[in-house]
Amino acid sequence: MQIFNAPSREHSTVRRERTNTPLQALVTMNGSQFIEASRHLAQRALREAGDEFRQRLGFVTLRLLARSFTENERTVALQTHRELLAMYRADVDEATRLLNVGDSEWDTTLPVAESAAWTMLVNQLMNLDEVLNK
Amino acid sequence: MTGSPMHPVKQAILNETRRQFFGQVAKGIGGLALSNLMADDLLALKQDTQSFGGLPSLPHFAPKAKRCIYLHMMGAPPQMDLLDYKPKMQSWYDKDLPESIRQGQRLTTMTSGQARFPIAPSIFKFNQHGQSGAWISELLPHTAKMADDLAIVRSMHTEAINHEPAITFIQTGRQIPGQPCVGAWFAYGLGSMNRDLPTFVVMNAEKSHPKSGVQAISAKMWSSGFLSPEYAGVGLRGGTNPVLYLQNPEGVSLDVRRKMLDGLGELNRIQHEQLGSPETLARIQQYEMAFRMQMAVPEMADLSSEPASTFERWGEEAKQQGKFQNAALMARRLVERDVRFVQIYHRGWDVHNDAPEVLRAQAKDVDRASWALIQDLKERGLFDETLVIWGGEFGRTIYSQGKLTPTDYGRDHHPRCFSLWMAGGGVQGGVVYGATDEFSYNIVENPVHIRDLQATILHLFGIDHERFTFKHQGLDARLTGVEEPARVVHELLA
Repeated sequence: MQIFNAPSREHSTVRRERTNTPLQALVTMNGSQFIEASRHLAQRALREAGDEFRQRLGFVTLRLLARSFTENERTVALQTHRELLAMYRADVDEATRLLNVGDSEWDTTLPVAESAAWTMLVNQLMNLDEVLNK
Repeated sequence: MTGSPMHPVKQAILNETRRQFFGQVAKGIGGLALSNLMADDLLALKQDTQSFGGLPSLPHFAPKAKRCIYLHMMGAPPQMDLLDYKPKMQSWYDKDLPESIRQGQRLTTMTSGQARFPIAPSIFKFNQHGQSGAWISELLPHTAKMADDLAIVRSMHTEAINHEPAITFIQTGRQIPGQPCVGAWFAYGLGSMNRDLPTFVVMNAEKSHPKSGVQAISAKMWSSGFLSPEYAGVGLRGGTNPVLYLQNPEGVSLDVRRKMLDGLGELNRIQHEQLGSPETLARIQQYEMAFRMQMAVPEMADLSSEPASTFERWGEEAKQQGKFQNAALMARRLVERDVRFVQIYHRGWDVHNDAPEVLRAQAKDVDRASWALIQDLKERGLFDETLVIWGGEFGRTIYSQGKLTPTDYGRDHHPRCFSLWMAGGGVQGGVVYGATDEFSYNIVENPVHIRDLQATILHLFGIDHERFTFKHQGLDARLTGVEEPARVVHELLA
């Protein structure tokens, strides 16, 4: 919490600081709770949002940003997804390791590489400035 | 490009440069903001050293020191066994401390109940060393070898009598917590010289002997107080995760992380184009810095890149995580990489009991390592710009705590005088400053209060302690405080 400017309670604080530091980035990128949360949102998108990338992306952005992506943004996300999917298809062990992060079980009915790729895509989106500032 | 794939980090750095170049061409002056490299260059123009962040008004004048390594001996080393030679005490063995010397000094509850205060002369031999002829104890043979590089202060004093307030005092300038510590002031005022590593790093070294007393260490000792939390010390831990959350999680390779960051940066940039918030750009920068830290911190902590000669100088203990020697070697590696402020807390100096036995072990761990550190700094041309400080939070009593025997004694806390040494970074070597009475109880010459030490440290970094302030709760707060005037001890400066 200190990394995220929680007041130390040694002085009265009227307005909490909001800083922007690499240590915070490390927490939201690498913290196992964040990875696990990403995985769950990814899994829901895969189960509930249909088969198309656009639908799944919309499912995620609606929940993270309360909006849909613009065409530009969608292009970027699609590019990232494509690259991640290729990487996880090439190394299924890596994908499985990612899905095992966190205490909860991963959904084994879903394809492994897809799940991993979407987990990392959601992890990316959860680190957007717009999401962190919501 | 042909040949083997480029390392993802190199690729990323190249990509960043190309994107920024095109960004500037397309957007003209607006593109200037997008270029973190450009902005940093502009900032660096104000000083001859590259630095990032910090206040434009600092330093006030040309600094001697640019980096600091502060070796804090937690628990308070006994000055009369190490640096403050009191030969007359040999004839006072087991005699009571005269009231004329004690002058009603308050005692801790650990000894206030004693019926007697028998004097315990040091059982350690002292000799003179260097051209200055400084008297240094046999417990510190390596430190003695470099007597002419050191400024030894024998007349340090404080008001605090217990560890937590005393350490808080020497680190933050006030016994009551809530103030920023020295390192945080430096991070705030002078900024960083390195884009890949934290500006202010803290390490804890374990005690040296099973009987060493340990005191609690709390993060408030390296806290940023009322300054922004980004200036707090970053704890460097042992093991595979030297900085919390540094490592990518399982299943996330370097390549995956890089791809994720590429997309993230791009999406944030699109956002920035729409809304124009500078915070978004800062966010992009912080993520890139986090990525660089993921490379830079393990690289720094990886001792396998050190030649064998390093360990011939330092000893094999320098390889062992948790030991003081290891932390001090890390400190050298950190300042080599231009980290501004490094602090090591070495535990176990609180010799209420078993002082001779414990001190032998404690001193052994710090003595050779302190010497090796300074030799390393000199070899690398860093000594003149790196201030090294060694000392505790108060002194210890000449009278014995607990049973006194010819081979064993303990010492209680003593705020009225203690010893400390500084070296490098513009400090005058071969100086012994200040003196205590024959009992090492009261100061008789040139007292140096903790605030005076802090004012002097700031001065070495080119900062006038009275002008370096921060507005907080209506007060122009300073490291040296606003209640008592503090002086720069010019006799310690080269």
